[in-house]
This record gives sequence, C-alpha cells and structure tokens, in this order.
Amino acid sequence: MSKLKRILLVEDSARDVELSLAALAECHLANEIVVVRDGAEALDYLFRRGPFAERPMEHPAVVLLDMKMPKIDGMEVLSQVKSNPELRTIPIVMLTSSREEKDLVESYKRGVNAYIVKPIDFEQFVEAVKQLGLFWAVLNETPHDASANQGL
Amino acid sequence: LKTRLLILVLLLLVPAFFLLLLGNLKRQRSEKALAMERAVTLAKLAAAHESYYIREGRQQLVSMTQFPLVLMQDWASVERGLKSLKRLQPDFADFGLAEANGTIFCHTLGSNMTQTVSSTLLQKTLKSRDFSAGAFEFENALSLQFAYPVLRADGRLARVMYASLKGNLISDALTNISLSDGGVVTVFDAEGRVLARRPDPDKLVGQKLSSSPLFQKLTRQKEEVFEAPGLDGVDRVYARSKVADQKTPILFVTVGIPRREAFAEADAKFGGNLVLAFLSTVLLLMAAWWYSERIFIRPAKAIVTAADRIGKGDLKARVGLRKGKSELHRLATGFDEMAASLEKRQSELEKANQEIKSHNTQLEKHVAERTSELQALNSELEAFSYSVSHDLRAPVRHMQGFAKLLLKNPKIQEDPAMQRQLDTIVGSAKQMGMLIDDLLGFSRMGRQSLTMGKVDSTKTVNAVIAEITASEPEREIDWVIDSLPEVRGDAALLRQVWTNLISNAVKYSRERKPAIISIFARDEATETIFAVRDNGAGFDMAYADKLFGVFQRLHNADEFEGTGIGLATVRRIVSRHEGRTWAESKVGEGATFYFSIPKNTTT
Repeated sequence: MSKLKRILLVEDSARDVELSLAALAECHLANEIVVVRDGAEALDYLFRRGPFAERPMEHPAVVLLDMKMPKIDGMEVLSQVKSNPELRTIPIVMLTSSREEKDLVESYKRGVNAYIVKPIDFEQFVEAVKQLGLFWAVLNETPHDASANQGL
Repeated sequence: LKTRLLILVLLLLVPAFFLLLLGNLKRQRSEKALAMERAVTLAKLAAAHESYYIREGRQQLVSMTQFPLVLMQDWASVERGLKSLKRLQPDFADFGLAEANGTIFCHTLGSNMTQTVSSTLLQKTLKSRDFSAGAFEFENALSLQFAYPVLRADGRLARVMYASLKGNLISDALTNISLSDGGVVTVFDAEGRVLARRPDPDKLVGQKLSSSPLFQKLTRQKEEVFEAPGLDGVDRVYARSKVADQKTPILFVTVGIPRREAFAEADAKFGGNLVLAFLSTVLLLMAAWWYSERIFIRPAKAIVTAADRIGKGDLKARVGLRKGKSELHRLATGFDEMAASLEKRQSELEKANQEIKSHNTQLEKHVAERTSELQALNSELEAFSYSVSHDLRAPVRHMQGFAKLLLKNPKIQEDPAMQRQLDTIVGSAKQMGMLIDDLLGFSRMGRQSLTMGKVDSTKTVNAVIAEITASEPEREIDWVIDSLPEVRGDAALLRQVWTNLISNAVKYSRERKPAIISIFARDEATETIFAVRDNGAGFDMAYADKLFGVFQRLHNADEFEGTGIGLATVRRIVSRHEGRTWAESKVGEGATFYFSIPKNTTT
C-alpha cells in the first residue's frame, strides 16, 4: 500500500471538528482527513454525488460518524451505507455524546463497526481516537471484494 | 302438619273410646248379674213347684205302706184297694206292689199291662230299702215314679210299693214360671232324662240326654249359675236348682236366659254410643282438617310460596295474608315487611350499581385520557433526556477539551497562575459531566423495567467492597460483615444500591483511623432489612428527611465531594422493589443506613 487512504469525519459541530482534528493530530496519523458537516453531505461524498461527483474513486479507510446531526442523522447514514453492496465494507465508527444504550444497540443492529461515547475528558478522547485510527486507518485492510461480509 | 294434627285428634279420641268400652262392659256385667239373679229365682221357683209333688208322693207312699193291705196275698183285694186309692189320689196315674224278687204283684192298670214300673227304680229301692224316685215312660207318657219298701213286723223286706205321678203334672208345675223371650226351663231326673221342658216339650221330653254339655255342667258345677250351650244349641246363662230327698238328687231344674237377651240392652246402648262416637270422630277430623287448612296450612303454604319466589329472585312476591294475631299471621306480616325492605334495598342497590357503572365508565375514560397524556409526557421526557445527554454534554466536553489544549500550549506552561485557572475550568467541567451522567442515570432508573431474580447479597457486597477498596488502597478500614440472606430483586440495581451505600460509608469515615464499617441484615416476617453502619462524620437527625432527596446534601462540597444523587438513587431503586429506606445517626458518631426488600415480591 503506497498511499494511505483518507479518513472521513462527519461532524456538525465546528468545535468537535476542531477537537477531533486535534486528537487525530496528536496521534500523528498521516492519513488525509476529509470533513463533512452533516449526513446529507456525507452521503453525497460516499455515493459520489453533487459536489463530490468528481472525487477520486477510492473509498475512505474509515468513517467517523457523529450520531446527532441536523437533516440526516448518523443512524440514517449508517443504514444507507450498510445496505449498499458496494459501500457496506467501509468501516464505520459511531461517535456520540450520548450514553443512551438504545442508540448503541440500534447502531450495532444496523452494522456499525465500532461505537464510541465521546468522553468529557479530552485525554481519554485522544486515547480513544488513537486506538481507533491505528486499527481502522492503518492496520485494517478492507477487502476489495465487495461480496465480503466484513461489515456485518 | 295436617297429618300430624289429625293423628293428634285421633290420639285424643282413644281414651274416649276406651271409656265407652269400659262403661259398656260394666253395664254388661250388671245386666248379666241381674239376668242371673232372675234365672236363679226362676229355677228355685220351678224347683219348689216340683218338690211339692215329690214330697206329696213320698208322704203318700210312706203312709200307704203302713196299711196291712200291702202285705196281703189276696191279689183281688189288693187290686181293689189300690184302685180305690188311685181314685182318692187324682195326681197319680198308678199305684202298684212288687215282690222282693222284683216281679210285679199287683197294679191298677189292668192285666194286659205288665211292665208298669222302672226296674232300675225297683232295684234301687230293694238295695237301699229307702225312698227312691225316677222317671219312667209307659203308655206313651212320661211319669215320675216313686218307690218305698214294705217291711214286715220283724223288719224284713216283704214288698216294694210304688206310685206313678202323672207326667203332665211336672210340666204343669212349670206353667207358672214366666219366661222372657228365648228363655227355657228344663227338668231332668238324676239320670239325665228330660222330664219337662218349656218351650217345645214335644221334641225333648223323655229323651235321655245325660251326655249333653248342659247336663254335664249341671251335675258337676258347684255354682248355681253358669253359662253353657243349651239343648237346642243356643248359648244361655243357666241357673240350676236341685230337688233332693235327703241329699239324693231326684230332679234338676234349670232356667236358661239367652246371652243376647242378657246383654241386649247394654249392647244396644253401646251400639248407640259407638255410632255417636264414630260420628263425632268423623266430625272432629273434618273440623281439624278444615281448621288446620285454614289456620296453619294455607298461611304456611303462602309463606313457603312467597319465600320460594323470593329465593328465585322475585322480590315482588308477598304472602298477602290479612293481619291477624296468630303467630303464623305475625310471621307472614313480618315476612312481607322483610320482603318489602329487601325489595327496597335491591332497588337502591341497583340504582347504586348503575351509578357506580356510570362512574366507572367516566373513570375509565379519565384513566384512558390520563394514560395517553402520561404516555405523551413520558415520550417527551425521553426525548428531553436524550437531547440533554447529547446537547448538555457537548459544551462541557468542549470547555474541557479546549482548556486541555490550552494547557498544552508552551506559552501557558510558562505561567503557573494561568495553569491553575485552566485546571479549575477542567475540574468544573468534569464535575458538570458527572452531574449530568448521574442525573441521566437517575431519571433512567425510574423508567427502566426491573429484571427480577435471586440475588446473593453476600456475593454482591463482597464484589462492591473489592471494587471500592481497589480504588482507595491506602485506606485503613475494618470490615464487619454478617452473613446476608438471599433476596428477590434486580441484581444490577441492587448492586447499585450497595455501591452507593458502601461508598458513602467509606467516604464519610475517612477521618477515622481505623474506619469501622459493619454490614448486617435482619430477617422479618414480610421483609428483609439490610444495614450499612459507619463510624464516620454522621449527620444531624433533624435533616434526616432531606437525605434521600435529589441534590440534597448535608455536607458542603469542600468537606465531602459528591453530586447529591447517590441516596436519591438508592431510595428510588428500593421503592421500585416496594421496600423502604431510612437512616439513623448522631453528628460525629457515625451513621446507619437501612433498606428493606419485601419477601414474595411479585414485581
């Protein structure tokens, strides 16, 4: 693998984007990070629609998806990605402020690959992102074969 | 009831009948005595008549045998003499003389008659040399014959003289006896030959009836009066009289009065009484029937019918008897009153039921409305807590995150004052985060459903203690733990209760060296009571009721940190198990927190 894949960060809060980027930077990840601000934009990016129609073909290494967003929320994005045969192999990590158990259960039902409650403590957040980034962005290789059932 | 009444009447009549019978018997007896007396008189009278002839015959013979004529051998003279005697004595049919050897010497009836005297009588006289009498039949007529010995001067027996009384005289003697209807008079000689009889003399006179029951009884019975079947087969009461010559019976006279005659009057009276008694019995029974029907049966039946109808639910039923003073009438009146009040109650009850029903419908409507309102409220609350958990935590996280970023800035690391201020921001944000988490957890506790099961309290407590002491290994604590009973409850929630109580005990006893924390339980009839006691700071009992409220704290945050939600959570979990929570303490002497879990809880 000559070039690291991109990481797609879906986050409506600018502050959270900044903190997340800071955390990712602290992990010294070399991947390019694409930030989109809501679920609709995320879907456009993933399905190469609208402003992202001309983007390179390659799928992101991992999608860091905020749960609570205006317009289309994280749960809807997750459903659409996981029900698409071509996109379902993309690992999706749900990031959420909520400790609601029903959200966690629902996410796993829809095929999420990991679920992280954003800790109040920044240090803990950095630690979590570090683990995640290492696993999904660097070590984990998604199969090119679309029929592989990795997401489920 | 009717049958019993009739039986009672019959029972009452029994002594009456008995008295009637007794009276009849008495009357019968007196009538009988009277009849007997009369029979005896008649018999004696008849005997007197008969004995007259016998006495006469004897006298005749005794005087005749003193004449020389009776010893004469000249047959013609003797016959002449006897014939003139017969002319002088018209009562006699014949006089005669027999030789000592029994042959007849002479009599008055002519030469063609040879047997003119009973040979039995002759033999008897020859043997006894005394007077004898007996019946004898000749010339188709019965006569009573007498015989007397004729003695010579030296006393030797020469001849026997005999005389025959005219048979009709014996019968004639009876004509003076007045007999009532069915009565009989009979004369027997000593051998049982019938000498005379009234009525019907022709049938019986002359016959020898010594074996007849009448004659048997007559000769053997000592009593003068007896009952026996007569010669004609009719039962009679007989009176007997003897005609004797010097104790030798010659004749027996009997007078018989038929039984039916003797008792006729008494029987007639008795029959009349019997008919009267029977009629009065029938009348009494009818009266009893009518009376019982009218006084007892009809009202009783009416009451029973009404009771039956009421029993079947027809509360409109009434006995409907007119008012009266008898117990049954009073019962009926009482019954009707009861039925009326029952009916009234019933209608009141129905009305009340109707009201309750309409109230219930109203209530159900209200409940349904409330339920949907509550459901709406609940889902609203859920949405609220959901957004709180998202939106309230985000700014806190940002504050903390950016403060931390600033702390990494080299410029700020040069300024210790700024560093301390940023640390405060970080600490406050952390506290705020904890508050939010606890609050959300607490609100979730109220809605979450319980998963009931057996909970091993000792195991839970040991696990909680292990967890707490691991985070504070430097603390010096003496644990006193009793054996704790198993309870039914939600294991996760009960673990939360133990965690909160034990960590409180650890927290508030940290000034003590060593801290002593005891955990014990008490088994009651309906619940199990658990307690956690420490020797820590304690609290003022005046504020005991505030302890379990949300955000209620009895110590300020500088003394003991905390969110003020731990005990509220404990109370909420225990309440959801339908248990109780309370505490005891004295300031500076430690505190004891109790909670109870009911036994056999179904929630």
